Amino acid sequence: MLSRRSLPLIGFLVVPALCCWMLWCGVSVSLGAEELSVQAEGSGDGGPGECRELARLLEQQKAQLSRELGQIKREVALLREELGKPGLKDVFAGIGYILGLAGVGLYIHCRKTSGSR
Amino acid sequence: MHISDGVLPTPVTLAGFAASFAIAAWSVRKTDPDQLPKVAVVTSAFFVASLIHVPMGPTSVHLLLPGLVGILLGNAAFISITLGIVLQSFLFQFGGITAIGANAFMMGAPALTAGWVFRLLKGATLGRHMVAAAFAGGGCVVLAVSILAALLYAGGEDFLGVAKIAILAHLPVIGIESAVAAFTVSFLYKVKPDLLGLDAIPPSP
Repeated sequence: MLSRRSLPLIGFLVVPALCCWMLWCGVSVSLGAEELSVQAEGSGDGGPGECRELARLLEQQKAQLSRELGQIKREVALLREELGKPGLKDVFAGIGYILGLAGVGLYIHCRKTSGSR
Repeated sequence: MHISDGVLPTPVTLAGFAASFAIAAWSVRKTDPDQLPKVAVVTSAFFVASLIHVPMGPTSVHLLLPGLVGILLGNAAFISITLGIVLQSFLFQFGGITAIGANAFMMGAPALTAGWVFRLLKGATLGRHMVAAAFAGGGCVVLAVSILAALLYAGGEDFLGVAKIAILAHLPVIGIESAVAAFTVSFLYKVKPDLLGLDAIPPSP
């Protein structure tokens, strides 16, 4: 009986305690965020000078990247030209064709002459 | 010196194919089957010679050798040149596939002419042979350039302008071709004269 009567009492105590705990957690989280934002702001001056510095660095990086990209493009064009050139394989393929066709011609000639005999 | 796809108008392209086919058929009939190994070797040389580039200022021109082919093969030169041009077009991407007829005519007709000229001019001596070979080899390139200019003229270009530029670009080639033809003929005259159509080995002085 006592325990049944004490249930609301426990609830009365526990629920506010839980609420308090959750609130405190929330506050601490928001506090942490605030600290972080403060830190972030504190890392730079946040002035226009900082912005200009960043822009200059970005421009520098962009120029370097475009220079490297141009180099790579030139290399790709060179490579393509190199690949377009006929290689040893093509040379031997052509000579093989020529000798093979000469062989076919001689074969036909021989068949003709041996047939006429 | 190769004509690419789409440069010549269709009638000229078709005429080039017709002329090349007709002369190639005649050339095949004129070819002695016993000479086929020689034809094959000379064709191979012609086919590969186009890869030898002569640097010339900003551009480069390559060795052509049709004169030497004509000198060595005579009437069989045209079929040799045609086969070489076809294989160069397919394997080296020199010149367009549709322009094979015109290219073969451009190189083959001067080769035949060079052969005839060489046979006309060659005397009995080594000196005469060399002079005839040099003349045939150099003149062959001039003739080929003239045909190129004429073909391009049919395609709507300025004849004299193209001819001038092509001759200027090929001046070193004309010299080198003459030298190569003369040297090769002198070598063959001494070492293997039957390749030049000479029956007996000439007495060495």
